[in-house]
Amino acid sequence: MTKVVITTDRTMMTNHHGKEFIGFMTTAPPIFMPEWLWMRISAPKIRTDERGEPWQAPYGLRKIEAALLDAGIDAAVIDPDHLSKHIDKAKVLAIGHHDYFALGPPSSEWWVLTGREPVNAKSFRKLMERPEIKRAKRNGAKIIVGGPAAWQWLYKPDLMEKWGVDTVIDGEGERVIVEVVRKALSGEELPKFIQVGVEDVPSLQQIPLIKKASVNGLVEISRGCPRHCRFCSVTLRPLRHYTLDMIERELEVNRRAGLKGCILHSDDVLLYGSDGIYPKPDPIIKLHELAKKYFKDIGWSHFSLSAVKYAEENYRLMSRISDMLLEDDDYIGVEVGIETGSPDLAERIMPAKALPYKAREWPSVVIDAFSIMHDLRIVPAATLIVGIPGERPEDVTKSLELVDELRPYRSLIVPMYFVPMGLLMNKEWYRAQPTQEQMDLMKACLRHDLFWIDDLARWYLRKANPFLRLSISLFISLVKRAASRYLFI
Amino acid sequence: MSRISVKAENLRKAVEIFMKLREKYPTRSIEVFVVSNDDESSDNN
Repeated sequence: MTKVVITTDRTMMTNHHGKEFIGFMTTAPPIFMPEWLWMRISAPKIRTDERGEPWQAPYGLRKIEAALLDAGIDAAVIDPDHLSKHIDKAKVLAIGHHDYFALGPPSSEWWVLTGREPVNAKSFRKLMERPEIKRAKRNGAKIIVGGPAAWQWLYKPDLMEKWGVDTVIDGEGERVIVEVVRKALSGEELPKFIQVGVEDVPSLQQIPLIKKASVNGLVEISRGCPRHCRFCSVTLRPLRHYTLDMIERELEVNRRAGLKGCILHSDDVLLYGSDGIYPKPDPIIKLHELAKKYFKDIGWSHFSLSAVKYAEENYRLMSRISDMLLEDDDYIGVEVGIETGSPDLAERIMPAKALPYKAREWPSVVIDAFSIMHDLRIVPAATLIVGIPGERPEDVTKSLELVDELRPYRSLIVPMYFVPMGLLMNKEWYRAQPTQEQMDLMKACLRHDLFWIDDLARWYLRKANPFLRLSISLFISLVKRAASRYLFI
Repeated sequence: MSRISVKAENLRKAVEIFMKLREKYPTRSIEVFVVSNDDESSDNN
């Protein structure tokens, strides 16, 4: 029984059948199927030991666990179905989430479009209303919440009171959590809200290394981003690159636990080892050589499109790393941000996103990067922001034109509603019904995705279990039928 | 640079103060406490 229980709800405490992208289904309400089936597809239960410790857990929770263990505090990540084993001894419940109340992208968008609450918010509410959590509160345990969605608690003070949330930590929490947990264990007064600023952000040497396996072998390679897009919260953090030794130690943890693959995570994997916005070939190659030593299956989290173009045109770097990772008939996926097809809007909200190219060249940078990735069998899953402050109908039309131009390139494009974060955190929330132009843009994205979906599903599901293969195939055919019948796509 | 530390008289005030402070100081460390009614609001910074 552990004193500090770190947990979250089922939509987070899962490995999505080993298919990270399936996790996006947890941001939507069930569509064309009952909720239990939707949850079984998107968030199956994870194997645990007899203490209730999952064999894989979200990377962010593993970092908090590592920080507390390094500080000599008895802490463990516990699966939500096993809380009762620890709750009577627990002094602190530390809870993290990617999207507590489905207010972030893309959950908020599915909520507006379908009029129904996404399963991530529903599942989190069920967690907080479990008898074990209530019992822990009655026993005097403190509840500390954090993670990338910590800001959402500011919009839910009623639920903070109802569920007895003691402290909200917003920002990189590895240093602050130790201080707050120590205070909680010694009965000191806790702050209600904490924003982790530069003075409390861990330096590279202070970032703890995970002790137990992360979901789908995800390991962080860098933190922060130098591009300073105004809508992004990551941009407020200093850029730090892990050393290869740090990365290797986390790869080892995951391989020892039995994982068969890894995901290299950064806000821009291609800037690993760089000191600005220019990708450097040597650190990138060494990073991939290291990962290959441990795993055959290697994935990436995010690329910036300008880095893709620059890296290939100057060093053939995209070709070199895709040669290292890909077998003959394979694809490899990565998340990228288009955000807008409008040069005007790009200049205003993300002036450095295109660097070293000009912001006004952004649409051509996007097309060039997509073309490079298509040839190398890299599949971008791209986001577009809808409803960003200052967006005009002509900006949306430019985005629509860009989506049409991207048709020849194998990819998925997902429009996401603007959510106020980063330097735009004080701006109005976009929760209105979409305008005609925005609807047209969303339809164009759906048309693009349906054009590519069969090709992509064949690749993505080829090693999936039969249940997942059948369920997703059925879901795709239902989406196609509905798109044809109701949206004339 | 020290952490900005503020006390608020109730949860709603704490939310309000925290939101204002994070908008004004997006990269500073901030903590907001909620104190009982007999304590006064204060800024330790």
